[in-house]
Amino acid sequence: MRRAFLLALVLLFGPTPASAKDIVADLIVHRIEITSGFSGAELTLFGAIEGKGDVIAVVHGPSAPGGGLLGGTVDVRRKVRSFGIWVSGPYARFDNIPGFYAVAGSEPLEEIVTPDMRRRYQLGLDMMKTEAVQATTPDIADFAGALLRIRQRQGLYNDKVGHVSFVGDRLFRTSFAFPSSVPTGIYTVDVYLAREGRIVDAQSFPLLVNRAGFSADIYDFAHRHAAAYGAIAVVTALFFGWIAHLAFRRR
Amino acid sequence: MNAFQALSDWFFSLQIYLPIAEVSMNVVLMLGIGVMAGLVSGLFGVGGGFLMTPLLIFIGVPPAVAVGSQSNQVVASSVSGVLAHWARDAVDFKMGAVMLAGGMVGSSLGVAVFSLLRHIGQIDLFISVIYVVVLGSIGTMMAVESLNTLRRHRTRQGQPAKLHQHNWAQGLPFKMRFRKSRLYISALLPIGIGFGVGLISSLMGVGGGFMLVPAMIYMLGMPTSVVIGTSLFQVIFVQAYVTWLQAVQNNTVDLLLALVLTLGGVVGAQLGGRWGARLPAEHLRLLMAVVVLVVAGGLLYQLVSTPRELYSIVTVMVPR
Repeated sequence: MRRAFLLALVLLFGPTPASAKDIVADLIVHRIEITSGFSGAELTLFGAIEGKGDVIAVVHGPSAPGGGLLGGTVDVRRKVRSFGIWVSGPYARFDNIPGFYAVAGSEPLEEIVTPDMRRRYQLGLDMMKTEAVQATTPDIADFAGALLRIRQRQGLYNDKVGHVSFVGDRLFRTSFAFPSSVPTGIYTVDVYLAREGRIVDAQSFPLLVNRAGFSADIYDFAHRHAAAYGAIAVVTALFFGWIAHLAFRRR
Repeated sequence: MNAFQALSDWFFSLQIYLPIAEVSMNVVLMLGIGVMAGLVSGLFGVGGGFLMTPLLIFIGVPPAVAVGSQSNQVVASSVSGVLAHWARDAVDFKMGAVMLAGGMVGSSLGVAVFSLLRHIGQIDLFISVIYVVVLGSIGTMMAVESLNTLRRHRTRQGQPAKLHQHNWAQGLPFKMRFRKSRLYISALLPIGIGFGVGLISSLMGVGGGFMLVPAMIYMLGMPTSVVIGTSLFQVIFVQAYVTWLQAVQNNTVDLLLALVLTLGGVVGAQLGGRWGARLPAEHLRLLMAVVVLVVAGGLLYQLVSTPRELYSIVTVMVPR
């Protein structure tokens, strides 16, 4: 919400008034379907700009339908040694933490926009807002750092800024990689046009990540008809046990 | 040759998305774990859950889903095991049914204790500690016993141990005759064992065969020939009940994961069963003691050694 509001402000009162659409972009697919064979996905974004400028693209999510929270709430816990064994110790709770974040730019971000702009639009992992809402530790920064580090290792946060490549002067394209553990939900893709260190135009559109096909059916059934699902699981196991016995009985 | 290589490359890189676990896993890796647990179950007549659950968690399956799905797999492997033992007339159904009565009460209580501990927090630590303590003590007991037996065999000294010697237990009421086990004992004994094992095993999220088998041999004095079939018979019902409970209460049974594990487990169990038939019982017990101790040692090491990542992320709320 805040991001959208800022965007509106910039578009209305931006220091360098740009014409209505100096940047247009689109995705090749607007939906990532998690099927039984899903092992990650590649999302391709393409578009064009009017005049000179640099392009930054951000994918983040999932968020609640119709805006609201930018991300989920997570607890980061640190293990401590107690009587020789490692046990869960202090924790810090963070709000508005996206499950996935990736950014790409036509040049290194520091060269395209001012630090102030980067902070305002949260461009780059180092600019992501990590505000602890609750904590049993004074070292919030360590916990926030651990959050980013672990998510990077899981491939959910992109530690390296991706590259937006230009074809000629106006056409651009870039792509983002999603790991298989990408959470489902509605994502937001933001595309920014930067000139002289400032964001002058932007476009934003949704991206849907959902389960589809067989795996979606299983998930839905297991949650909606849990008792029947459990019974089916047991009967299936009994059946396969019997089949296995028949298959290996000879001798 | 090239085509064969391409085929094997495809097979080893085959990933499948697990709908309940919500992660994509390598099929060969999962099959491998199934085969290993199956080997253990075929060799020793236990479900192999004590081995499978830690391995699944290790490769990245969420712990709750690992526990729920492996109990479903244990149902399948126990059924095929029981049928094989039944064909050889090596199942004491009466004994199994009596133990089951205690087992159901014990595992219900265990599930309740489990959710209580979850509310208090530190459930992961508790599970790890209980694993280390239970596996460590059972492994040690079995190793000592089987080494003693082997030594006696080698020196050919002394008489074989008596089949059963319960001095205080002889006085217990509700005596029952168990024909197949050639026992005339109080029904309270098998009920108590079923209860205790049901309680501990539901806390650990395993079938409990590895506790049941030694308890039946050493505490009840059942003949080894019927112990495995009877234990498997009992485990089917307890695990079917646990699977259903997990599916209803926690939505943590992944059918696809259970299916792949079953596939591997069936093959492993057949191999294990054939090898097991060729090994003498004492060697078998010593081997099982070693496997149990290795798992316990690995878990103990994890508890004590400095973790590579000190921090962990727990998602409290997801936007939907």
